[in-house]
Amino acid sequence: MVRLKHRYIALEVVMSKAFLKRNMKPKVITGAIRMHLNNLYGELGSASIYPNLSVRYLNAHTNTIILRVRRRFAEILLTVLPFVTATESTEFKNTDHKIFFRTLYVSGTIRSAQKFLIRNNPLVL
Amino acid sequence: MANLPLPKHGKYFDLNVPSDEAVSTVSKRLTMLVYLGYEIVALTKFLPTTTSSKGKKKLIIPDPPSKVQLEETAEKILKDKGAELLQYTRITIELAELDDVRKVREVLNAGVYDLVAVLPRTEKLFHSCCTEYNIDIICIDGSEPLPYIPRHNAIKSAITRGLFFEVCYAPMIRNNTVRRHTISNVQKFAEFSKGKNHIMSGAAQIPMEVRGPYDVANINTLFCVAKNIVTHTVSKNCRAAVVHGFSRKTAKCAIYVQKKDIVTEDREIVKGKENNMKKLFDNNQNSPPLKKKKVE
Repeated sequence: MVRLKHRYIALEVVMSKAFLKRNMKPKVITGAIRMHLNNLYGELGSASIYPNLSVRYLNAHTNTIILRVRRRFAEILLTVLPFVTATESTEFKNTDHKIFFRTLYVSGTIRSAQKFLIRNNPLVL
Repeated sequence: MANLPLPKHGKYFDLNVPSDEAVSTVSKRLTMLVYLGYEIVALTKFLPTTTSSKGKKKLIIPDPPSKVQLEETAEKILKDKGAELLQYTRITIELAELDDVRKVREVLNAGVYDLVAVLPRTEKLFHSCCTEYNIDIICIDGSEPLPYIPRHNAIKSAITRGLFFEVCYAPMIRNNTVRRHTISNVQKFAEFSKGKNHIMSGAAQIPMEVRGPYDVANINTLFCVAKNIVTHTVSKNCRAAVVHGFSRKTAKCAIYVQKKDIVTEDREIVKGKENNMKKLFDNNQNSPPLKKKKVE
């Protein structure tokens, strides 16, 4: 019985004023990660990780995201996340930092990642 | 150990916050650090090499940066946590010629800075840093491929003496070539040191270059450091570096005696009184005064 195992990474997105909140969509975020994966790990890294990467939860109010990766690539993805700064390729060459990610929690199930976010929600419910 | 100016265990450190600019820019960086969870910070001053062909000029060491007042948002976050932001002072001296060694001597003689860091550029200077000088941190620079080959003996002796090797992550985020150079340089060190006595610090120039402690620790896996040691580079090793810097200030003393705070039955805290300490020291009236070790 083959079971696909994943890792769910809970992130917080810290944005500068240059980044518009309505731009925070799953495609933008995975595109940004793919660009920096290509930069750091090259074609092998981006080709093996990008199709196995998806955004499972996105909350624009609290700036939190839950990403899902294959378990094999979780480690590699965690090393790339500190280097993500920009979202569009045109502005990539500038040192104009728009966003950065802050990893909060890594878990094997989406439920525990959701539980973590509920417990540590910065906004008071 | 309540009154010693040493940080507690289990906190996150950022031991390189450049403070060469105005106070408002520095405080912006500090708010970002506080927001991300750092609680101890060291404000740095950088001393570049001076290649003066004339005679020996008088050396002016920059004044240590004063304590920076935090912005309101940062103070609010700290108050909610019940924590405090400890600020240490640090100087980074760039050694490119033998002449620069006297800068190290003068800084140590002045004894104003909490931490002394050094950036060696040649093999001889690196070897003497690891074995002789009374410093705390050796910086591994990423702006160029290593001009020297780190030898096993030098690194081993540095580790036994309690020195730390520092890597800055913010230049890696800014620039691609610096990223490549730092990775190759630090891997050479990690071959011999296996990630022991490594420190990660950020020389962030804008607040958006700062990264959280967990992310910074994960960068170490790029340097072929074992995963169980990776968080030490942000917490445990940094604390040891601060303690090493503190021990340089205390002359030859190895024991600090203090009375603990006692919690009585009524749940009141009776603080350790200072009078009892004086009694202890008055008993040794015949002992000679502590000799200060000659600083190199």
